[in-house]
Amino acid sequence: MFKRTLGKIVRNDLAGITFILVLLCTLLTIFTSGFFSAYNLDSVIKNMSIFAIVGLSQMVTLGVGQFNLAVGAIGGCAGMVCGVLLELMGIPYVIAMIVSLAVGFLLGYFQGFLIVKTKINAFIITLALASVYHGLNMTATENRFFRNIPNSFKAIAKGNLWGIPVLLIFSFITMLIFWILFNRTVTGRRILATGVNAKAADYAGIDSGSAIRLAHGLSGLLAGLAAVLTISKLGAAQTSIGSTWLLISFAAPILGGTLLSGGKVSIVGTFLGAAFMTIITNALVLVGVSFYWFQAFTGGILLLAFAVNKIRETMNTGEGRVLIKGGIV
Amino acid sequence: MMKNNILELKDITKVFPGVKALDNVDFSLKKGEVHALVGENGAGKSTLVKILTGVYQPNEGLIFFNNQKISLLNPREAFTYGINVVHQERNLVPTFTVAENIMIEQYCEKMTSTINQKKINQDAKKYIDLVGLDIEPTKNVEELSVGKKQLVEIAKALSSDAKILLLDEPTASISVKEAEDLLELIRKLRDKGVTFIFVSHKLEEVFAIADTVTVLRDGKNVKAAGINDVYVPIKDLTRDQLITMMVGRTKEFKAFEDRDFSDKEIVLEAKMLRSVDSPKPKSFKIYKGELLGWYGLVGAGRTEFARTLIGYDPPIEGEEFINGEKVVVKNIKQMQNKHKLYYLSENRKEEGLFLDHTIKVNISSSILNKIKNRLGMLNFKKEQEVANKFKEELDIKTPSINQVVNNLSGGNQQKVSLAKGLSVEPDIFIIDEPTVGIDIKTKAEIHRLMYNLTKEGKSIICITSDMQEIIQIADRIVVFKAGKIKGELKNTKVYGEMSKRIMKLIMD
Amino acid sequence: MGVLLSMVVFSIFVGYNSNTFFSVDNFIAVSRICSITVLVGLSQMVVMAGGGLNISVGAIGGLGAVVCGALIKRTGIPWEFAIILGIFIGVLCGAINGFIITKLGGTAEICWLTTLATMAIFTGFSLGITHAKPFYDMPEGYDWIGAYNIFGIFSLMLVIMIIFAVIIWVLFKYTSLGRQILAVGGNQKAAVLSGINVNKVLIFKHIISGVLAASAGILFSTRLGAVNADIGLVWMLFSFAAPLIGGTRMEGGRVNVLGAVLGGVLLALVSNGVVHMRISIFIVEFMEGLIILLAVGLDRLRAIREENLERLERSTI
Repeated sequence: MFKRTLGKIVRNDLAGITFILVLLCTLLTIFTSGFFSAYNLDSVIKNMSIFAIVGLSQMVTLGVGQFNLAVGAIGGCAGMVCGVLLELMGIPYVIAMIVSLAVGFLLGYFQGFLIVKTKINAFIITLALASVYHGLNMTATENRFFRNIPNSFKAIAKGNLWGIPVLLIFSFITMLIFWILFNRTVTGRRILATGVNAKAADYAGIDSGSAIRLAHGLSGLLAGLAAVLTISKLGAAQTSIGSTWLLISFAAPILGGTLLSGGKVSIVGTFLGAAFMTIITNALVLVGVSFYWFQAFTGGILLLAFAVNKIRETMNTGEGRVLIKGGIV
Repeated sequence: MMKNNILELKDITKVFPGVKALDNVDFSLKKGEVHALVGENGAGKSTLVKILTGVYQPNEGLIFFNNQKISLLNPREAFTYGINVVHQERNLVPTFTVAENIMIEQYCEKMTSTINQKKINQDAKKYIDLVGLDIEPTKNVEELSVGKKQLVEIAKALSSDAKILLLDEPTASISVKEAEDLLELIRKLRDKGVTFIFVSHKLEEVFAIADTVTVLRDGKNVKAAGINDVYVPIKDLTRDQLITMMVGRTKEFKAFEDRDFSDKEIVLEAKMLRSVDSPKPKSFKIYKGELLGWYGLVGAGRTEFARTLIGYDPPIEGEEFINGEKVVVKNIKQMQNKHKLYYLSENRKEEGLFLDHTIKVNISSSILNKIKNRLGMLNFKKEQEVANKFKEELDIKTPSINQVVNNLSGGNQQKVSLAKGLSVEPDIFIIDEPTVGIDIKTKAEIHRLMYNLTKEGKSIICITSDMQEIIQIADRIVVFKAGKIKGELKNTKVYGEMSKRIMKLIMD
Repeated sequence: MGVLLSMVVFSIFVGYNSNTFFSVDNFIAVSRICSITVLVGLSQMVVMAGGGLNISVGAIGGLGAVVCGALIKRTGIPWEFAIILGIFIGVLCGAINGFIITKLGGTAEICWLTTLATMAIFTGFSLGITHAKPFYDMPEGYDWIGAYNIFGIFSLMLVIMIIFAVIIWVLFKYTSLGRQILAVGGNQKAAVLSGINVNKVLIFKHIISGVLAASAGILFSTRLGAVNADIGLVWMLFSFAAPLIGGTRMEGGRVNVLGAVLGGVLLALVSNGVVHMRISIFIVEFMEGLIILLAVGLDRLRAIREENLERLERSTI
């Protein structure tokens, strides 16, 4: 019986996580004095915006049925490129941002290219490339810090537009773009079809190889975007950007309903998942848990996410009892 | 019930959603005999095998072992009764040696036991010699040919004291010489007291090796004319009788009209075409508006040849002509969009459909280019129209086109698969095993659909292993065997005559 | 073997470019590094053998060392017991990994996804226990382990590593459990049909991996003279590189213990040599990634060659 109610919550992906989020926020507001303060909410929203983009980065690769273990490394590289451009070359930040996004895309695309060409497991390729990219990053920049970030650039993270933090607007726009991509475009369909069944996609005339390459490229692009926004927020570019992203990049989409097996993504769910991760971490701070335990919590939540994913998957392929609207949310 | 039956199955019925795979089937096995289980693709052989090996449990019916009632709830239980299976796919550990694979049950019994490599090699040698393999026990299994791997599996079964050895299509992927050796081995082992169940649809082998035979068709036992037992000694049957039992006409035979295409244009022609997976050069042609049948046993190489034609496994030698023009085959997309050639896979679940997606999304997956507007955005209205159109036309039974395909019955899934292909509006449609595992009513619907398509001027290549189906619907029949085309027949639609002629081509 | 050759070539190259490379002191230093790289490599190798990858090797190493250090510093337990309990943490972490993996389905993919999460959990615990502050001032006997050299040349750490390596070699060559692990890795379906209890085997393999990882962590800390939560942070990467270089198959079913040992030695040489040649230490990470790609690429070529042989065979039937 418990399984059934659990199943009901899990089944309607968005309802489930929205409910938990609302519950969490309510409890926090009631029981802690710091949660609902302007300062705290502002910080939470800014973090959650960036994490949402990190989550989207992994979500895209999950959508095509693969994994990208290099999200952090690609982000780090793109970030450092941005830092170099801004500080060493004095390039206007808009151009620096665009170049960084392009770098992210290229690094990701290369990864996808290798995967398709060699037919080697995406996991090991992205793992190996993660260290190649990271090592390259560290060596080339000698682990420098770039602190002379123009104020106009920092303003992106600090600023508000009509009362809404600019970072949040960035994440909404990104979400919108990708929602349109996956819901309304042919390209998005191709990616999802490849994610469900790459072979069937080939037989249907969809080039699964190009879908995979593109998905990895987009994943890299989003990682680059997250890196650039992080630099704006920190006011500095450093090689450690991205080092903590891997776990969150999985937790956010999976909690939000994206399936590990591929072919089904949830953009809104990924945002909510990122929100959940951010708020839970915030909760730990407010409740007074030592900051050192945070990673343990994140890992625990990721395990929970896997368990939930397994339940979802078994329900999807069940004996025809459950009707889940497949595809996109 | 005969007294010396080591195994007996009575009134076995097995039902899946929409399909009755086995209908009151009887099966008896005497100790020390080679018993052939025969039938076409989809006749119910593999379901019966799965029940014998504990993978499935029957909905109705009883199983007796040495006259004792038993139930086989999982493969391990079947194993404890001494029922060993050598499947079509290999179940060996590729990185282990021959000896390590053969003796695996013995040394893996307890986790703490030590491995005495020498003893394993020695013990294994006994069984290696028994099956006539001329290799060292220390050879790595992954370096062996398919035929030798099979012998290793037989040796493994013998090492665990197998009483009943079930061989499932053992000669499907081995050389002629290896097949002969295998049959010789079976004789030798039978004389030593091992009981065999030999599943096959190669009649020449059945006659060569089997003592008795059980024939299945459409999930039921087939009795030989004049003999009242389902369990028949081979020596009491003639070749013709067995052929009739296997592919004999049933009451529902209703063929389409005779048509002649000799004056029509050739839409697709292959000349000495070969590819990596279809290495023997083949030639054929198909006319406009024709329904061409490709008949062959499983493993005959038809699917591989189709994959060559459509560009999934592009040709490396030979020529392909479409509408008289020579084509350089590059990939599926090109063949589909430019040359209107579409291939529908036989494995609809693994290669044909996106099970987690909806009917609507599946149907539109091949024509994404046609339902988009300038910006690359999908035109939902058009997608819905297309999906609904096919839902009506093909009579797909579903409450809505937003149903996830995984939840549909086999027949409806096949219809979605067909719709997916039809949406491309192909001129040449290659359909691989269109009605396998599908109920009779839907089968007829699909046949009618294919026929109507040809009346509209489309050409269809129907790949099937169902003798009755091909004689009912095809205008001409191309017969495949072991990767080669053995011959081409004009279909007279007269069942007895055609089935004999086809089988003769295959058995030569 | 290609590994041996590359080791020799590399050593000569470095030695030529530096005058401190070929010295007894350096030999001892390298042997210390490789004792860790080999242990960690073996820890990963055991998991790979059964099909799957253990991302949490470093985290378990760190946690083992941290618990050991915490016990020594915060309770009165003699350091010998603390070490034993630290190794027991390896057992515990491994059991947790194995248990969760079998509950979630037991495939190779689930294996690495799960260990990704447990890596965070175990590291989190390390951080939580230490509050990011190292434990200094270890007891004399503890430090002695990391410092002692037999006959002045062979570091005790090296000897300990060799003992572990031999045990693992025996495991895979002479015990049924070792064979069962390999069978599960080679063809899980065949293993099931042969009566092997796959769940049990998976849990045991993770426990063994955990013990090796925790031992590596504790051993490392004896050399360091301190315990902090950073131990093991970067180990995950070369835990793959060593076995892959040495010929262990990533999908499972075949291991090469000696190869993994040599692979670990090569990695130690590389990280040591890089310092001697005044090259940025970060290049090591880059190279490790390349090495993994190469090793996996070669393995893939082998698989392609096999596929082609099979095709050739089929076309002549």
